[in-house]
Order: sequence, then C-alpha cells, then structure tokens
Amino acid sequence: MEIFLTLLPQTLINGLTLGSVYGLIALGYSMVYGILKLLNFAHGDIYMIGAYLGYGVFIMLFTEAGALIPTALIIVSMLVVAMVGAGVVSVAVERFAYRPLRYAPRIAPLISALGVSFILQNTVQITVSPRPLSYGSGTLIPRDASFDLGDLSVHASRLLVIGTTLVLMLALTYFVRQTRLGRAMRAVSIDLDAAAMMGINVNQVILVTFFLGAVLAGAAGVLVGIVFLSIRHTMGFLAGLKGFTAAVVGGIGSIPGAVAGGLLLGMAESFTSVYISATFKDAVAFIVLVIVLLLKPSGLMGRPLLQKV
Amino acid sequence: MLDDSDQRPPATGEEAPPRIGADEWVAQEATRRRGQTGIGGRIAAVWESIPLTKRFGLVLLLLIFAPVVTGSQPFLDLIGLSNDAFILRIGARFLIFAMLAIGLNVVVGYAGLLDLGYVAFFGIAGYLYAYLSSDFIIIGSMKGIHLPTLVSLPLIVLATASVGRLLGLVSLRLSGDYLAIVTLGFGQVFVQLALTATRVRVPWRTRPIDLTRGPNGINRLDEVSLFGFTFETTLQYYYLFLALLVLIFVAVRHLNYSRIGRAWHSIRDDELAAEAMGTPTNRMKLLAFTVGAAIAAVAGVVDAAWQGNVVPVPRYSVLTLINLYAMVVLGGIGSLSGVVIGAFIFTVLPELLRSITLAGFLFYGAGLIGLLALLRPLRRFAVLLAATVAGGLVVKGLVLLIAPGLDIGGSGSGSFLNRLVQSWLVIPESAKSIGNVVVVLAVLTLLTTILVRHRERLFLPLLALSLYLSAFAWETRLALEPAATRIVIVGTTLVVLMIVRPQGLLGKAEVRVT
Repeated sequence: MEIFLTLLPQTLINGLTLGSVYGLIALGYSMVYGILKLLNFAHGDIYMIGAYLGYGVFIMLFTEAGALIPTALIIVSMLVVAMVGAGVVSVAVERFAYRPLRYAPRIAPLISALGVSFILQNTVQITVSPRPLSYGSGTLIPRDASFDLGDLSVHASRLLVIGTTLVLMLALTYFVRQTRLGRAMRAVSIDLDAAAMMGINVNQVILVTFFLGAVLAGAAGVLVGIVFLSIRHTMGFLAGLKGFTAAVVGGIGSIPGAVAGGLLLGMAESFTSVYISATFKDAVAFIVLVIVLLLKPSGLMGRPLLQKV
Repeated sequence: MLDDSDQRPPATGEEAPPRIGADEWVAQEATRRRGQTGIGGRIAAVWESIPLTKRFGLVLLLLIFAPVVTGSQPFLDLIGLSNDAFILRIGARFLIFAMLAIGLNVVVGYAGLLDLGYVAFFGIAGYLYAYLSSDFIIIGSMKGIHLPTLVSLPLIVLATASVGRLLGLVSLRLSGDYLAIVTLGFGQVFVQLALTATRVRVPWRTRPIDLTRGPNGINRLDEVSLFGFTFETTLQYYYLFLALLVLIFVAVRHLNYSRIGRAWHSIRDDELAAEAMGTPTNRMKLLAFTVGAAIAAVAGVVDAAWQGNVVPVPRYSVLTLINLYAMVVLGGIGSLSGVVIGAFIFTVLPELLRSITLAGFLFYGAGLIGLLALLRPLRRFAVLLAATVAGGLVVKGLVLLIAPGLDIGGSGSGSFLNRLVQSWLVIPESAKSIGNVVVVLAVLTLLTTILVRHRERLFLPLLALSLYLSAFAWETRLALEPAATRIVIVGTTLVVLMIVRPQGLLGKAEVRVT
C-alpha cells in the first residue's frame, strides 16, 4: 500500500501525458468516422509525418551552435509547421485516395488507406532515414526543468504536452460549437445527404475535417518527440492503432468521447506498466477495448447504433 | 445492419458517380462484356469457353508441374539461380496464403463479417502444434509431447474452430466496424500474449512458467508425418499444401453453393431481411467464424511444421493480416478463384520486386503501358513521349553547355534500360540528397497533374515534367532502396486498383438499387 501511494502521482501524470497524445490522435479518427464512416488507417502515419516535420524544423533552428531563437519559439514553430504540414498531407490523401472511393463498397477505402499507409511510411524511410531520429535528448528542454509539487516532480515537457492538448481541445470545441464551418461539420455528421440538400458544401466540410484531424495528429507527433525524444518512420502504426482504440472506447464519432477514451487508455497503460508489468502495457489497451465494447457497444459516449430499415 | 453510407445520393462534387438507377449498371453488363475486345478480350473469351471443371483441372496441372519446370536445368540457367529452393519457398508460401485467403473469404466475403483478428487463429493453431509436437512441454520424465500428425491435426483444428466460435459470439452483439475493432483487439491480444507470456505465475507451481518463449518463439517442431510418410523437403510440403488447398477449395466451393452459402450471402446483403425470411442468422454467423477458423487452423499447423518453428512477429501480426486482406480484396472479395489469384499476386509480386533490375523494368514498363492505356488518341501518347525525351535532351544539352562538370552521368549500374535512362538524365554529384527532394517533388507534380487532367494545355507539359522527375527519382533514390521501394509500389498498386476497380480483379461489382 505504501508503494502504491508513493507511485500514484507519477503514474497519474504519465497516464495523463500518454492519454493526451492518444486523445489527440483519436480525435482525428473520430471526426473522420463521424462524417464518412471511414476508418482512416493512414491517420497514424499522418501523426508520424507531423513528428518528422517537427524534427525538420528542430534541426534547422537548433544547430550545433545552439538555438537560433528562444526555445519557446522553436517549440511553437515546430508545432505550427508540423500541424499545417500534416494537415496538407492529409487533405491530399483525402483528395486522391479516398474521394474517388466515396461510393465504393466499404472495404475499398479501407484497403486504399492501408496502401496510403505503406506509401507514407516507406517514402519517409527512403527520403529521410530508416533509423530512429532523436529530438536531441535534453537539449530542447533541459533535463532539470521540472516543477516540484510537494513530493512530486513534473518535468516541463509533460506539462507542455498536457497544456498543448488542453489548448487544442478547447480550440476544437470552440470551432465545432461556435463557427459556421463547425456547424456545417456537425450537420454533415448527422446526415450527409440532408446537409448537401441544405446547400452545405460537403466536399469542403470533409476536407476541413481531414485537415483538422491531421492538425491534431501532427501536434501529437511533435509532442511525443519532445517527451519521448525518439521518432521513427514506423511509429505511426502502434500509435494509430491505439488512438483508434481510444476513439472506439470513447464512442467513435464523439469528440469528448475521443478525449475520454484517450485518457482512459493512457491511464490503463500507465497503471498496468507500473503496478502489473510493463510487458502487458500494449495488450491492456485492447483488453480495455473488448471489455468496454461488450458492455456498451457504442462506446463510452457514443450514440447508440440504430438500425434503420 | 443497414448502413446508409453506401446509399447516399451524390453529394455536390465533380466525382459524384452516376447513381441514378444503379440497375443501369446491370443493363450495361452486355455492352461491357462486348467491350472486352483486343488480345486480352479474346484470351478471356477462349478461357471462358472452357468448362469450369476443366479450367480448374488446367490450373491444377499447372501447379502440379510448376516445380518440375522450375527445378529443371534450362529454367535455372535462364534465371541464373543454382537451385530452385527459393522459388519453391515462394510457391509453398503462396499455397499457405491461398488457404488463409479462402478461409478469410468465407468470413468476410460470404458472410460479410469484418474479422480483423483472423490471423490469431493461424497463430493459435501454430502454437498448439508447437505444444503437441516438440520438446517444449515437459511433464515429469516425459520430454516433450510428440503426437502423430493424424492425431494432432484434428485436435488442433477442433480447438481452434472452438475459439473461432467463441469469437464469433461477439459478432452476435456487435456489427460492422465495431466487430472489426473488437476482432482486431483479439488479434492484438494474442500477439502481445505470445510476445510477453514468458513468466506466468500459477498457484500450483512455485516457479513461473514460460508459455511462449516470447519473441524468439518455439522451434524444432516435428515434421508432418502421415501414414508413415514424413514430409521433409519443401518440395514434399509443396505437394502437401497443394493437396490441402484443393481439398479446402472444393469444400468451400460446395459450401458456398449450398443452403449454408446462400444463407451467408443473404446475411451479408441484408441481415434484417435475412432474419425476417427465417434464416437462422446467429447460427450462420457462428458457423462462418468456425469454418474460417478451422481453415486457418489447417494452414497454421502445416505452416508451423514446414517452417519448423513458430514466431509471433511478424508471422502472426497485423502485417500478415494486412497482406491477407490485400489479397482477398485485390482478387475480388467473395470470389474463390479471385482470392487465390490475389494470394498469388501478393506473394509473387513483392519477390519479383526484390530484384531491382526487374523492378526497374516493371516501373518503366507499367508506367508506359498505363499511359498508353490512358492517353487516347494514341497521338497524345506519342507527343508526350517525344516531348519528354526531347525535353530531357534539351536540359542535358544546356547543362553540358553551361556547366559541363555538373553531370556525372549516374552510377552506370543496373540493366541497359537503367543505363540508358541515366545517360539521358542530368545526374549531379550529390544525387542522393537531391534525389530525396526529387522523390517528394515527383509525387507532388504527379498529383498536380492528376488535378489538372481536364486542362490539356497544362496537363501534357506537367505530365512530361512528372515523368522526368519520376525517372530521376527512380534512378537516384528508389532503385537504391529496393526494400522500401517495393512496399511503396505495392501500396500504390493497392490505391490505384481500389480506385480503378473497387470490387477487385474477379469480384462482382455491387449492384445496389436504391
């Protein structure tokens, strides 16, 4: 019990960090699914692209001579470039690989997405490097940059992840709830046909959805690079799988659900690796998934699936 | 489940297909068939005039005599290998994947249940075979269990099929994408357990037990032995696999044309309607899962025996699953011969692409043939080709005039085709880093070209430019990274094929009358 309590705060912080990242990835899956009923399996690789774009900015601005501009600015520009870049790639993927298949059988875009995933991963492997790249361990944010809260010491990078996630999610909520385009998005996700008949430019809304999802994933890629320091071209696969799991656990199609699912998964993983065994941490995500889906098939916050006749 | 996503009227947009009257499609069936003229159409016509059983017989004969041909000296001299072990391994792998694809086709193609945990059955059977046919399990003084295959195979198939039935229970509660996700989770849990269940504590023993030997897997499995005959060489296994494949193929074909097959189809097409008509949907779904798992179990057992080991990653991982789905979808989901052809293409194509000379021929060849097919009238193709070649020569001439030192003329490696292209291109000294940029540029130009395809004035010049850039990217970067390049090619093939023919090669297009 003693050990349990002393490890608890750190475990919570770790879970929160992981959960934020999963939540960010899950949002992209969830939004796209909500509108197109498409499982965008290439989303994990968009996140990987974000991480690599962030890396590109990092090595450009953080040369051997030291940082060219203040660290905070470097981080911001890494985030911005990664988010916009990932968004553009994702929009291109939608335009060329998914849009021609919008009326094809359900499995066709799925396979197309797998093809896109192959292309993205291996193009990065060819053009950048097949080896893991490092975000310069401890150079961007010094190792000792941590905040002490009582016994607990929280590293600045983790606060950065949690903070950035919070800001992005608030921005997304504002966008979806308050703006014209956000309203159009909600309308399209409820009924695409009716929305089209009401004069909503459905293609534009879909592009925006892909863009926003990728923006969040791109940010997640950079954040993961900053916290865990190492990125590689295959990182999108497992992260995508877990982000997707998080989206489903939370109720796919629901934005708060994606965040909740991400946090639940992050916590489950963090608690498992601390209190049970680190070897089970990758399996636990899927065990949580199976349990949640069997108990509540539409996920934690999903709308129940209705059969229409 | 009645999913409305397939039945939407066209949204506003240029690519909204002619949805009005999906039965117009049916009406066009005859015209489409007549459209199959030319050499390909004539071959197809001859092929279809042969009775079905004879067609199968022909393919079977081909498969039976294939090892005889590949093992013969003239053939080996032709391809420059000293023996045909490599080819035989590909052949055997193709047969294994064909069995798996047929099994997956039962679940996904016939019953329409999106099962993403299918590979786990393959893996479970492999591990069960490892337990029953190696030195792995030690009880008392007995060192390992070594059951004869005739005993272990039915046992394992039964056990795996039961697991399949259990997973099938989930499908009674969840449908569509949710089922896909839970089954994916099941597959993941299996792989993770296989990787990590090396120190499991049990109450009746003080020391933890190693259940799977982790990532290394279990090795030194017994060979398959049937009726006193022990299979040892890959050639013998090839024929064993072939026999099993034929058995499974025929059985599934009969199943498909029986009452059960019809029940599966009706569930796939409309579950509610099927249930209303009195189809025992729950029982049929469970049966689909059971049959699929049983077929995977057969493949898993013989595969494990042939390889002599079981290794969780990558053999039983999602990668194999993706491969399988690509095969099934490429061949045409629901079409039995289609999925076998898909398995053939997907085991042979990546191996062919391993040889970079061949990949080069394929790259340029497929590119040119594709353009030839797309650019009508032929004049446009000729103009494009001439313009590209001339443009390249002009660039080359300018570079030679202004900065003769810039062009070092490529590595001079590869076939005559590669050398020809290399001498046509301007290849500077630091080709590697420039090549990286050009790879991305080539993709961008190609995509832009697709976007402006209706504007002739922009289209042809851009296409010529993208051809030049692609050739440059290939010679400087892609040809040097065969391992990654072949996966890029496979990925591109998947995307293009799905766009051109979403129902796969032999699949029937969905006809939906809304």
